[in-house]
Amino acid sequence: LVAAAQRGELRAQEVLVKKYGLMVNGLCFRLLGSREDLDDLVQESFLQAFRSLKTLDKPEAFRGWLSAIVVRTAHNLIRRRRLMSRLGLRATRPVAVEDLIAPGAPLEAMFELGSIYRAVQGLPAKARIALVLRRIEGWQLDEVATLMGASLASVKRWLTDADRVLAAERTERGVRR
Amino acid sequence: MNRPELRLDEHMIDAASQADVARQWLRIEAKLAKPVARGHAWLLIPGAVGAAVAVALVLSASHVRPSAPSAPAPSAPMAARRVAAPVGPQALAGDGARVETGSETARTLALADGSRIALGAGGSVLLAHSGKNEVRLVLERGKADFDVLPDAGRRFVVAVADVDFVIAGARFVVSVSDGAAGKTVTAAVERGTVEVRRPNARSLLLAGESWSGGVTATPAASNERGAAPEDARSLLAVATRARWQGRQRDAAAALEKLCRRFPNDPRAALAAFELGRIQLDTLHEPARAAQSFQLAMTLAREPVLREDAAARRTEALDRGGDASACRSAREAYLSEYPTGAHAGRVTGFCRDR
Repeated sequence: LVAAAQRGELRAQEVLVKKYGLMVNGLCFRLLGSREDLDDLVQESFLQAFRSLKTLDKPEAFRGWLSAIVVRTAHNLIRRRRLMSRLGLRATRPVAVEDLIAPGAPLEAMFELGSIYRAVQGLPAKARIALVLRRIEGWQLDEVATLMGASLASVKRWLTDADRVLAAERTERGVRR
Repeated sequence: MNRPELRLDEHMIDAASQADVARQWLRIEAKLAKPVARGHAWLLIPGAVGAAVAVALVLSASHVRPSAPSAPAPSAPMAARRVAAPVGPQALAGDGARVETGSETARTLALADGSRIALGAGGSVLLAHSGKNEVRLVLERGKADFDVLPDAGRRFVVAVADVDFVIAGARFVVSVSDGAAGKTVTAAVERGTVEVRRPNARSLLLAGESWSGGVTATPAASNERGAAPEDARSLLAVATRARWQGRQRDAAAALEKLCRRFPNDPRAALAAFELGRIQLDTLHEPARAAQSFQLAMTLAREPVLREDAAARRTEALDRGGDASACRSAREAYLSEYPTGAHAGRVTGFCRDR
């Protein structure tokens, strides 16, 4: 399928979108923390993937390769949002945590998700992405590094920064762990 | 890659359904059809503050999300030059898609068949329907230049209030303006032919000819106030419009009518699914939503839609407190789709009842 898409076969590209679309939407949604710009991010991620698909040597690695493209594209979008906000051209909207959590989620998960999404709003883009990939998506440190195209040391540094903000957020709300 | 530890992602709401993915594919497909280019306007993060300000100003100048392909990440002077250039065409795809331009910005839109629309400042255009036999756009306000490619098998209609312009491979400009006596529509044909259809009259415009007339009501509003739409497509258009305008109960009523009157129509399954979503997520009527998702499962021809509907039906039964039916629906889903896209969420429904 991937090989056919590499040859530019539209039908194969369509099947790939439909096969991996939910995964990509989910990853984009969790990285952004909202549905705002979700469609644009998903579409742009697939477009980037198809335009550079010929560079993928191992078709069996498509899923991870696509995830890395999603992460990179989301990073650019988050940076752009920050830039617009700093220039006063975009309102900074707080993440509506209650709109993100599934009905019936266990209390522990609700607590964690609430803390993380409140904290990410104050984090630099890379720390934010590292935190979501590690704590929400559940990737290992080396996998986060691969997805972000960064060194393990950088990821550890970003996560340390993120943990500091997370701890401050919990302290502010009087939560002790 | 391994996925260890507590999976918080499983406790978040679904980002999208397979129907959303199908809609996204249409837009991706439209963009893939264009010449290959790298980068993306809204992804540019220029290295210099001056260029950043310029880019940000351009991006914020329109209500439309920029989506034009662009060159690789630029140096500051390059970025500044790009800002001065016109923004490339944006794909217009998916029934109900609407594009609005700001008071000082114009926009070029591209349809999947290659036709182009240059929407002037302060304009608004709605893609009411895009099907095999007909494309129907509604110019809600402003001025637009349509460059329509000929397609013998498909009607291309631009509706402005109660006037339909039926285009057979033509380039023409339409504008709608508000005056003391109501709305006025003006159309001028540059190339090809355009048929003008009014409630009681028809006329043909050839290249170089123009037409102008007053209009009173929008086609959709007429439908909603007057005789009920008679086919599935019109009902779907009414529902889409109602949803865009925030009239969720009207949208639900139109979708319900579509499912009841045209159960064999290919759109009926998706209509039932959308009806369930509105009832569950917006109207908070889980019992009715469960029925609608059940109907979507029965009507669906695509396995993915049937699976989405089965998952959401379980959710609706859970939210409605029908523990017995919820457990039964959950077991049925997990039995049929043990590794399904929603298996994680469905497992969590009606667990403690």
